[in-house]
Amino acid sequence: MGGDFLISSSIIKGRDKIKCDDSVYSVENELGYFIGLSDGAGSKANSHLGSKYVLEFAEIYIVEYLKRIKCNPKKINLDFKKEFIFDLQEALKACFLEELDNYAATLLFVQYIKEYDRYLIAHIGDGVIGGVIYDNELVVVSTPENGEFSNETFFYSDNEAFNHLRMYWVRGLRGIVMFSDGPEVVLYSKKEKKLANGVKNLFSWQKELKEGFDEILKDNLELFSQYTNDDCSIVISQNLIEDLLIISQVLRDKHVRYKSFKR
Amino acid sequence: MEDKKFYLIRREDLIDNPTPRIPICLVLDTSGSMAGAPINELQEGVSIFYQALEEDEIAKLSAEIAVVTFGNGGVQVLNDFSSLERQSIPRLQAGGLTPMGEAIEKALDLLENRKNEYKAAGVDYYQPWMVVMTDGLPTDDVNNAIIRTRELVDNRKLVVFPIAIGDNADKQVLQALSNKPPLKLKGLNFKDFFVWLSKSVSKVSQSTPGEKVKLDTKAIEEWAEIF
Repeated sequence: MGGDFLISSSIIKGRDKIKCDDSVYSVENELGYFIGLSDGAGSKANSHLGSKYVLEFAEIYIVEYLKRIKCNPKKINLDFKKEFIFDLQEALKACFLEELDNYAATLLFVQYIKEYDRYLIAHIGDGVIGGVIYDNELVVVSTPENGEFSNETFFYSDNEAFNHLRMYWVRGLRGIVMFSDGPEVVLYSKKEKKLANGVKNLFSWQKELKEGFDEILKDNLELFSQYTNDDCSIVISQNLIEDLLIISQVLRDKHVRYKSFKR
Repeated sequence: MEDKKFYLIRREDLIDNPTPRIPICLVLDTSGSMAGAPINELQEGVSIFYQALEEDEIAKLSAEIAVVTFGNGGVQVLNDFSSLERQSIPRLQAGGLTPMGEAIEKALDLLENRKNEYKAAGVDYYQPWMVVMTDGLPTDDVNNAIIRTRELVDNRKLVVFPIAIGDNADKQVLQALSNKPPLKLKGLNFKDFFVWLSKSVSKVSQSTPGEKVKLDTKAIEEWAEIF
């Protein structure tokens, strides 16, 4: 990735599973960057393909749409959600040439818009999207949506998927983390709806190790996978450019204090 | 890079979420007509069920059993929902009438309470199961029990296994409880039924979102036939 952002992702097939249904995707684009994660429905034959292509389509669609509306937050409304889901489903039906149900998958993505330092966040189904704010505090942006029962969730391919598409505009985050329901068992407290403290380590190790962090992320994902039979996937990103702003702010504060001391 | 172990998140910095639960309620006929071999075989079957779950690493943490009997002593809750480690195998004794309606309603109440407790504690759970086993006709009004059960079954909030023991069980009542035909145990083959049930619990306890769990219907033929 370019010099302004760090993006890392990792993915591990679940124990005893024939195929890995999770997919991750990240790309730097003209608005900033896009990161996404999708978890294919376990019992659907082609959900691993559904999870892969839904992310690539979402990125192309979102970037074009944001450019068209000049990133106006008001234009991300219910009508947009309906249109987005309709177009997404039609495009993938045309691509797969069969019932979309076989390609069912969750959808989590974040488009960072560099110009406005703003994130557009979208989420259908389980998995978690969280972030770290500038004082290193962790926040949960989007929680998992399951049905009443543990093995029920929602997919982009559902009839009423737009009712389960949650979208948010967020500012003030230094970094983003998203993970599937596999790592959810150790990284997210279902009772308290908060992220595990260990997520802070992931952000600081990413910043410290840069490209070398990919291997570390994989090692940690292997650790998480010991607590679940499910596929595990995770994407972490952070903005480096903001560090410079913080440093300049600190220097400015120090300078002000120095001047008042002299007086 | 420093030692790679330095870059692994410590256990205390991870979350220890509880394992999702599968509540299973056994509603068992212990009326006078079950005396002798039937109650002994049922007892052995229930014991095998508990042991099989204990031996399964995941099912042991997921399964929560409640046992409601109708017959000896009226309607009795021999075990309320809790993890297996907190339970002992219930002792079944035959005697008395067959208040099946009251027993099913009791089971549904226990289930409702337990689901509320799960929700309050942030514990995920799978679709609950209710097994109803009887060898005779109910001696109380079962209408309300049937209405409540069917509402849950039809809304996919409950899976019911209605099982007849012998030819004298009330087929109509058993049929009314579920959207699938009731099964009749082959002879007193409780053991194979409970082995099948524990394997099915194990399968569900390992399922993930979006996964439709297919129970081994072929294996049912070994212990039951359509009633």
